[in-house]
Parts: sequence; structure tokens; C-alpha cells
Amino acid sequence: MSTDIPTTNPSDDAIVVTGIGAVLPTGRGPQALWSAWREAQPALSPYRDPYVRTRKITHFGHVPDELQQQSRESVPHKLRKFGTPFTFNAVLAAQDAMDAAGEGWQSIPEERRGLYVAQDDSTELSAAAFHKALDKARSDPSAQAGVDLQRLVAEAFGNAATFNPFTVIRALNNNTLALISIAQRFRGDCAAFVQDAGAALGALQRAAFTLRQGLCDTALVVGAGSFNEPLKLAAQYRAGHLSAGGRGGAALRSFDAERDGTVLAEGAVALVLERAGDAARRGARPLVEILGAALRPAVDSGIGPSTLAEGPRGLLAAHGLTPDTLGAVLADGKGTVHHDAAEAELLRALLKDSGVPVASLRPVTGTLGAAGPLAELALAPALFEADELPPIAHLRTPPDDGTDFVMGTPRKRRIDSVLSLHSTFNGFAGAALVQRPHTP
Amino acid sequence: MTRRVVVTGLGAVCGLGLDWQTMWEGLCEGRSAIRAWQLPGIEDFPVRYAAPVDDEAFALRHGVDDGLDRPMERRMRFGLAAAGQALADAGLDTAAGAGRPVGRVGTAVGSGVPERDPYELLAAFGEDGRPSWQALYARRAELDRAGGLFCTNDALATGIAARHRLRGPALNFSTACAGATHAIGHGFRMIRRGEVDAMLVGGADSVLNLPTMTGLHLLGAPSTSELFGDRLCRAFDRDRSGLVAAEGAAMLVLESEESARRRGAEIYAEVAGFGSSLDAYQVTAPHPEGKGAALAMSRALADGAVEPDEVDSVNAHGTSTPLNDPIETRAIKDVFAGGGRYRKLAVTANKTMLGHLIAAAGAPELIATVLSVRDGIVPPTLNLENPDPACDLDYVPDKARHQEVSVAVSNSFGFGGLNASLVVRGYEH
Repeated sequence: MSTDIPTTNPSDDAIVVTGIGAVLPTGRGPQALWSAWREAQPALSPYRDPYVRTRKITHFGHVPDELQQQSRESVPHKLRKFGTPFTFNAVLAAQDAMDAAGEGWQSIPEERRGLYVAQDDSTELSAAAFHKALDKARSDPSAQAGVDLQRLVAEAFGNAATFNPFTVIRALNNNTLALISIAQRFRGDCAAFVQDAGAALGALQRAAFTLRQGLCDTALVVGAGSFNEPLKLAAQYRAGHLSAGGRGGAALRSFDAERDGTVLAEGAVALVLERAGDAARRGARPLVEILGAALRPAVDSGIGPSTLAEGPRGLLAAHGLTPDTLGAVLADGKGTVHHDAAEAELLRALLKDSGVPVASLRPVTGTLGAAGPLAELALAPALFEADELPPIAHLRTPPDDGTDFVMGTPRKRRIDSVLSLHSTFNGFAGAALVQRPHTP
Repeated sequence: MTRRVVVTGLGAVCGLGLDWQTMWEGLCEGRSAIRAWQLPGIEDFPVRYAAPVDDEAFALRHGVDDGLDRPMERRMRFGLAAAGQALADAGLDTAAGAGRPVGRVGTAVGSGVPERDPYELLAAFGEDGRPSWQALYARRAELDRAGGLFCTNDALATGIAARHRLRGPALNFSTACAGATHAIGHGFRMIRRGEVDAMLVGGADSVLNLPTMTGLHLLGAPSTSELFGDRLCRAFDRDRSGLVAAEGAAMLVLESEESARRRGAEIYAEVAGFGSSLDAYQVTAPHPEGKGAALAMSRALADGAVEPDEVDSVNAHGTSTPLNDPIETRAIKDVFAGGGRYRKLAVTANKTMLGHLIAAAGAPELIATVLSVRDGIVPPTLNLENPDPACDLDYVPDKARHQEVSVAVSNSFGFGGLNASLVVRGYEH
């Protein structure tokens, strides 16, 4: 398990977050996310797509239309043909994070700005794009479906008039990295990851590394994606991951005995990271201190909850923390029968009877993919300020295993540190650890 | 903690061969894997040449025992095979049942876009021609569970880690044609900093399918010329007309010097530095002055505490596209301007023989760079018959050159303006 080297107490080299941007089903900015979570207001709405009709997939965490439009408008016109709606969300979140980091941020040379992106699997080639191309090809009487299918498809694909010539660019999973670097002028060190929620942990880890090594002076970490692609949704349904949706917006019931699956979602979160000393010198307010992140595969049959707990436990130990001294745990809580059962075992193995409260954001936002871990970190400043941990929405019957799941009302307590846990659909498990920043 | 990082294992599956030894032999002999090619069932697809892996030879070599005959994406099949080779070569093979789990070995790989089968896409359409989940569900038995529909893009990292019981950190990079080099570079950093003892790094990709090749074609990336037959990939030549797509995988085991020496592992070379940058210019074109490429190379040299005048060879990105080659030349000249060092560099373009493995491209090219340093051979740049005046370096035309290579640089650049460079030097304890 990889953990970051401990940063000893208040230090110029501590890595802090100085700007946060969020474009999520809950709205724009971290405050909208905090309000929805605190008020247990799910942002999950009936599934809609102009090209797809389905009764199996009932709900989704859509970014509201007007916000999606704002995202589109945040992207320079000449770049729009290269992007998809969810990469536009990333550009807006990045812009908001940079604005929040203060004016002095702009003086950092472009070559010293690092960019680390976590992106979900591309939504291209989308069924919508394919439909459009195929429809056009079918209008050609010389081609007949079923007789010469490959030919028909080739004609549909091979025609730039019906098929977006930039499809392959839009399908690349570094699409978000490219658009943000051009729109926001980043020329420094970089990386882009694709591994569901784990991608954000990888990006966070590498960003903190490059800052600590002095390879850049600021690092923007962006997580963005969308599960709204019919074939991907169908694959998730077939895997048995999705809720039947009988409870409407309250369909996602993390850790509840009556949970029946997750609700997928979309969105983007961006964090501006800096060395604490640099932030202080330019008068920026540190919002969160990043202590570390860890990510490992969890597909080996020999790996059980106690093995998986080694990662977060090591992360805590590296920073002089224990479950007893931890302020709060934000669990993943996807709401699927199996993922939550496995996570409950991990929580039990990790926390034992420490009494640290456990909450989850997922019933409010849905399963966000690459943006998920960063959404949790975006909430940390509000947790530190309010010293309260909102409950897990809709949780009525938690596992009876000693873990303190927060139910009903917010839990008042001093929160100086937050551990967030994550698992992915494809077999990765990880964690991120943050703490209240030291202020002069 | 800063540790030296060495290469202790190699694995490759590409058009030139199914192991790194055959690939290296082919590169040194100036053999090309590029040949006439067409998409199955489509005779007039405008792209006529590629560098595919020989499926028949692959099946013969791996049989059914390796489990590589199961349905899976091509890039996954090649990636697993190359990973197995590299781990075995390093003496770290831990395939299920073969040994105890390796604790501090991680995985960092680069891969491209999922291989979507048009038939699967078609299965999602109802009788009215609109996408319909019901239609898809009704035809679910027709869908390939190993196909792009069910494969997330991080399947390669997961698959390798699971098959070989690698329990260290696992990272899946996706930075277009710089993907493998980014994965290798970040893996190198993780070892150097003491996060892990060893990393399996590299990339795997296959774009030789209808959706991806069509997308590349519409973008104007692959050459459609038929003027030169299989001598189509003409990096730095005046008549270059686009990339020639390939498929395959290459993996390396990077390891801390301390760990390698403790195990008594054979050390091929040392990875000394890594640098990356962004152009912030255009999505589909590199910066015209090669500023991003030069920045990546300069950073890699500085990272390895290597002076430009110590470098003997550059394994160029050399795509044979009109834009890349003169711009990369300019960037090399900028970085190695001091004392006119660029005039002494042996610059080689492996893609003239391997084709362009897209997201995986940097991995076989790094293997070639490592072996160049070990063996003192710079593979040639093929088909350089009419040098472009804007490409005026020593590209080692036609035949491999035997010369001492103490330090070499390997470049990879990608769509979106992503640049990554690695520095390799001969290992001396």
C-alpha cells in the first residue's frame, strides 16, 4: 500500500487546499453540496436522456440543465467541439476552484502549474452519436441492415458529415486534461487517470508528490465524469449494481438493510493544492490539509477486510492518528448489497470500537465515479467549521456490528481530521486522509 | 528518501515478435512489422497498412494453459502476456499458485480507449432505430462479456494486478500517446521516493478496430497513402503522410537498486529521470515551436542530473506525421543547443518498424532505449529516403549503428498537448 510520507506538524511543506470548485447534481460549489447533505436532500432525479427510453433505469444524479449550460459556456468556443458535457463540467469546476484560490494564484507561472486529472470512462462513442450516424447510413437504400451490417456500420462511421470527426478526441480519457490545460493555461507536470473513484486518489497522490518534490508550485486536481451512457448503464444494470428505484429520490440507501442498489451520477470537482508556505506568502486561506491518499487493487481472492484495512490504518499511523483520535469517517456507501456489506466489514476491521462516527454522502449525490473522492474532500472545510457530521440520509436499519453510523440528526463533535474510504466497481480500494489546516 | 531505479525485467508483444528478444533483434536488423492490412469484412477502408500482432503465432505460443485464449479485449490479452514475460524476466513471477504474494510491487500502466464492437452498439437499437435498453437486454446473450461494453478502461491494471498478485499501488494512466511513458515515469518516481520496491510499468493498446480506426481516420491521423507500400511510415522524411497504427504491449519491471542487488537480479540499465509538460496550445496540434516537448526533455534531464552534452541518443516520438517530426526536431535542437550537441545525437524513430502503438507506444520504445544503452546499438530509422529540410538531425537512416550509448532520452507526445520524456543511462554500481 502506498502512503504519503508524513508531514510533521505545521510546516511550509504541508500540502493544503486553497480553492474548491464543484459542479454536481446538488448544484454549483461546495456550499450547495454541504446544504444538500446537511438537509438530507437527495439530488437524484428521474433518469432522462434524449436518445434513450428505459424502464429499468429509473433515477440518476443529473447535473441540472441550467448548470450544465453554464459549464458549456465556461469553455472557449473553439474548444467545445473537442469536449463532452462532463468535460465541460470539469472546466467550470476548475475555473471556480482557481477563482476561489484568490487573485495571487494567477501570478504562478504557467510552467509551474501542475494538472492531475481523474476521469471516468469516456461517454464516446455514445449510442447517441452512433444512432445519428447509423440513421444517416440507413437512409441510403444501397445498404441493408442485417444483410451487410459491417458495411452499413462502416459507412455510418466513415462519413464525417454524419459522424463527429473529433469523436476519437472526445473518446480519449485525457480529454479533460487537454481542455483544462488549454482553457486555463497549465503547462507544468501532469497526469490523467482512469480507474473509477480510484482515479481521484491516484491524481491526489501524484499531485501532492510533485508539490512536495518542488516539481510544480501549484497543482490542480480535477475529478470528472458521467455514467450517463446507455451501454455503460446497461452493463451496470446487468451486473446487478443499480437500485430498482422504488423509492424515488430516496433510492440510494447506504448501509441500510433494505438497500437494493446504487444510483449512478455525474459531476466534477476541482481542488487547488499548494504548499502551505506558498499559500501563506500570497495570503491565501488554507481550507484543508491533505495528509495522504492510498490506492490498491482489491481483486485478489486472498484479500479480505483485514488486509484492506491495512491501507487506511497505515495512512492514519503515518500521521500519528488512530481511529480513536479521528474526527470522522466518510464511507463510500454505494448502496449495493455486496459493496456495502464488504465496506461494513472493512469499517469494522478498521475502526473496531473506536466510536468514531461514520457518514456517507452517496445517498445525496449518487455514485459519482472519478469525482466522488474529491466531493468528500470538498466538504471537509464545512465539517471543520460546523464541527458536525450530517447523517446518512434514509438510513433506518444499519448493520449491527458496532460501527457508529450517523443516523437521523447531525452528530455534534470536534472534527479535526477526516478519513474517506472508496471502492470501485472494477476492484480497487482506497482512502484519503485530511485534517484541519494549521493557521498562523 | 531518494533511491536509484533500475530496469530488471522486460516483456513485449508486438508486430515484430512475441517477446522482447525478438522485438529487439528485429529493430536492430531494421525489420518492419508494417504490412498490408484491412479491417475484417471491409475491403475499401481508406487506411491500408498497419502493424498487427500475429494472432496465430500468439495462440500457438500461449496455447490454452496461459488462460489468454479466454474472451478479452486484445489490449488486455497482449498486456497480460507482456506483463507475465517482464515479471518472469525479473524473477518476480507470482502468477496465481506460482509463489507467495509480492508485497511492495505496484502496477502503473497506460491504455487507450475501449474496443467497442459495432455489433454491440447495434444491439442497443430498437426496431424504430432509437437506442433502447429493452432491445439491448433482449439481446444480452449476443453480447461479448469481455468486450468494450463490459470493460472499464482500468481493466488492464486490475487484470495484471489480479493475475500476478501484485498488491502494491495500482495506477491506470490515460494520456493518449504519452500514456505508457507517463505510467513508467510516475512508477519511477514512486520507487525513487521509497513508496514501493518495484513497479510493473508499461502499456497495452489495440486500435485496429472499426470505431477507433474510423475516428483516427476522420481526424486525419493515419496515412492513407499507397505510394510506398509497406514503407509507409517515413518519420522525418519529406514524403511522410501520417502515422501507421499498430497494436501490442510492452512492460518493464522497474526496481530500486537496493532491491535488485539484494535479489541478485540482472540489471539492464538505470532510469535516471522523468519529465512531463503540457503544451496548453491546441488539442490536435503540438506547439509550433515545440516548447512543450522541449520542456519535458529539459525536465527529464534535470530530474536525472544529466547535462545535455552527456546524452548520446534520442529515441524520438517520430510519428511520421507532417506536424510532429519537424517540431520534435526543433525541440531536440533547442534542448541540445549547447555546444551544438544536437549534431552528435543519434536520433531514432522506432515507429518506422513497430508502427504506432498509440497509448502503449512509449513502452516498447523505452525497452529499445534500455537495450540501446546496454548493447551499444542504436536501431535505425527506416524509409528516410528524402529527408525533410526541416528535419536535419542524424536519424540513423536505414541501418542500425553500433556505438556507445551512455545516456539516452525517450520521448512520447500525445493528443491534447501532453509531453513526457524519460532518461536512461548505463548502470554502474
